[in-house]
Amino acid sequence: MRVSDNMRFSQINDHISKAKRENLDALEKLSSQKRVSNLHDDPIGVTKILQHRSRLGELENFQKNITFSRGFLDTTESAIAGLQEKLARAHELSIGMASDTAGPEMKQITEKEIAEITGEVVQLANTKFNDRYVFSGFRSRAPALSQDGKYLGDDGEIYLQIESDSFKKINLSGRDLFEPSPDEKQKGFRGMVDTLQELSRGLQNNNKSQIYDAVKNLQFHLDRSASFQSSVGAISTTLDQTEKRLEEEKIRESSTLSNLEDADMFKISSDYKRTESILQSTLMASSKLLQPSLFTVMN
Amino acid sequence: MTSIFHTLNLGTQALFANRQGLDTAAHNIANAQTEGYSRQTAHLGQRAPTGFQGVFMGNGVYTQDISRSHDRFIEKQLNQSNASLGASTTRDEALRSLEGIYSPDQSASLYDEMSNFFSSLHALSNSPEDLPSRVAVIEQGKTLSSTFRRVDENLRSTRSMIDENIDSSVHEVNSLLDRIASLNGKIKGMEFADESQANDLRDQQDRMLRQVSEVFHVSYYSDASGMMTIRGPNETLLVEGSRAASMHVQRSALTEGAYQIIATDSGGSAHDITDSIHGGKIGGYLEVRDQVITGLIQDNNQLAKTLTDRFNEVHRSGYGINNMGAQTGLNFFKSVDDVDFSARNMDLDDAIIASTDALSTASSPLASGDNVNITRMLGIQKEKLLNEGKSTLDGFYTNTVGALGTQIVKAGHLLESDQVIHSDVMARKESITGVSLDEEATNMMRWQTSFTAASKVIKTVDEMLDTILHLK
Repeated sequence: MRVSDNMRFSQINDHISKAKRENLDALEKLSSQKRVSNLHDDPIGVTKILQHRSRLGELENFQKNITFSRGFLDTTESAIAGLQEKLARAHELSIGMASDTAGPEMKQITEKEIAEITGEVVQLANTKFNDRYVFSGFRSRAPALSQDGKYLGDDGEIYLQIESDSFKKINLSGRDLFEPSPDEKQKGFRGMVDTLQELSRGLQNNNKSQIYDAVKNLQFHLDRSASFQSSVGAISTTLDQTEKRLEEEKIRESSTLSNLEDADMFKISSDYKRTESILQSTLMASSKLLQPSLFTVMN
Repeated sequence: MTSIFHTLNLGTQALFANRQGLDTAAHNIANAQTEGYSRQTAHLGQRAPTGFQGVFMGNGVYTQDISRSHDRFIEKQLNQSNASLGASTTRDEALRSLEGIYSPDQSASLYDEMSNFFSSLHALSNSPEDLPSRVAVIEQGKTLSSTFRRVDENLRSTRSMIDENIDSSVHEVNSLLDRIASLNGKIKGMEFADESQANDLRDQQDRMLRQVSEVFHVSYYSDASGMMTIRGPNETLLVEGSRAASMHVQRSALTEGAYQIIATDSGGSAHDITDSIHGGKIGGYLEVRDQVITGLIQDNNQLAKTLTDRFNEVHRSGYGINNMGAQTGLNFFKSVDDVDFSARNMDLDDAIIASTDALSTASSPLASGDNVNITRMLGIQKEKLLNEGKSTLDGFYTNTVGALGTQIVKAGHLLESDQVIHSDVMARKESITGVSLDEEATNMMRWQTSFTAASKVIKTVDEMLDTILHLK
């Protein structure tokens, strides 16, 4: 094959530009530390990266939801613990007052404490988390109990997503906690605040049967709040387990994403070295190749 | 019997012919770097002999012909590979300009904005009545809408950039066709008077033809008188004799004002050749413009329309809070009926912009802490709403991106292989037509030696004449 001068020049140009391009690609990968930075680097990889990124985002959202739920539940739990303490104190007082040894003056004094407790119970029932009343259902802007113990909330159940297919109810029904169900009402049970008010009235009137009734009702509410507390505990346990799972999945997702997205440091630095030496030797060979010509040796 | 002057004449002819040989070598050296130049060779011929007394005496030398080294077959191949290379170059270039819109490094891609939007809804589901969270959802909704609009706008501006490039390529072809036609006239004029070919003019014409075939695929032939006839897409006569067709672009009424290419042939009748253009720069541009970008715009619109409609449907079933607590049936996004404008006109509904209370998070009236409708909105992410119930919103987007990415990779491979083919054909052409300086150096020595020898003949004749004149 005849070799014209232009062929030599253009071949040298081709080789040098190819070596330079490969060197530049390797340099880009080296400086970005990413295996995939453009769509054309690996189109299937890019769609996978997007999917894993969105899964990671989703997991983070679930974790945020769990953090929020935990705060909400902790607030609920401490409110119920407070209620239990108050109810236990009222129960203890009411048992003391139910006996004949307590005189009317004693009962008057006790009534003052009961009135105090009633106020505190209403206050605990209207506990807020992040400016929301935790026992009010969906009417989170309205307090759960009025001052006279009437339930102002609704039966809304707040669910939060904590896993792809799992929603968790994080609020407890204030109505169930503070008011007896129609069935229980028929059996003679009263609401929580109503019970305390009944006790107050019993103490004021020195009415033993009213006090007895209150003792029975207070026991009922102590049991009820204890069962509420244990259901809060159960939800918290589920949240803990879910969070652990989410954390593990997050680690797995991150490492998959990193495998897809990040460059292998050893490989890219050796690639860079390799392309650099290719470029060097191409340049050297080219400079040698361009020199000889019959004209230069003719004379 | 010939005279001694015949011998002198032989020497002169040899001097002249060898000098022409040297001229040719010099011409080759001068044009060694000229693009499209074909190396020329001087062919010497013997003159017819004169018979005398049964002996044929040679009558010396003359330059029979100066030919160019040229191969019509390789030239055809080169024109074809030019058309393919032109197409794959512009296809690759145009696709890469789209890549930025969808690349994962662009953290504000549509995909990210969709995730951000749904993340803000997740945060809102924790506290539906919280003002900052409601504002965040509305702001993310605005960002998402503007991202849809931006993608649409970027795609459209890439399309008009392609249109501009098509326009300038058409202008380029027009001027090339004119020059080829005028060269046709000149070549005919020159070759008519002479037997041999007008090498340098033909080189120029070939070079221009190669530039034309880089813009789109053409077929051509040269007739006996050396005039080139070129037919373009759809057999449109582009050059015939010394007349050239003229081409121009005009905005189409149908495909949203994209350019159509109209050729007015040498006979004066106009044809729309847009759909019959294959290969070449324009072919590559048209492919990306009409197949890829149109598809991407449609996908973007479909995604916007599906998201808007489904989200609105869920949103309408909910209730606002506070002042809007009893309000239901509101849209979140502006409802756009025409799917072709879904992305371009995407925005939030006026009611949502006017009041954050209108964000219908509740499933029941007057229940500010009700997050049930937000849960329903979040569910949209997992619903298979597109591709006849096969793809989620995210899935549809990643399909689009994956398909585009594959096309970009494919275009890159095609470009590489076309470059290899082109440089191979170029090398074969260069091998025939290209100037080798070493070869020319040898030629120079050859002509010089012959020239020196011829001058020696003249000197010898001179001495012989001298001898005769001094006979006494």
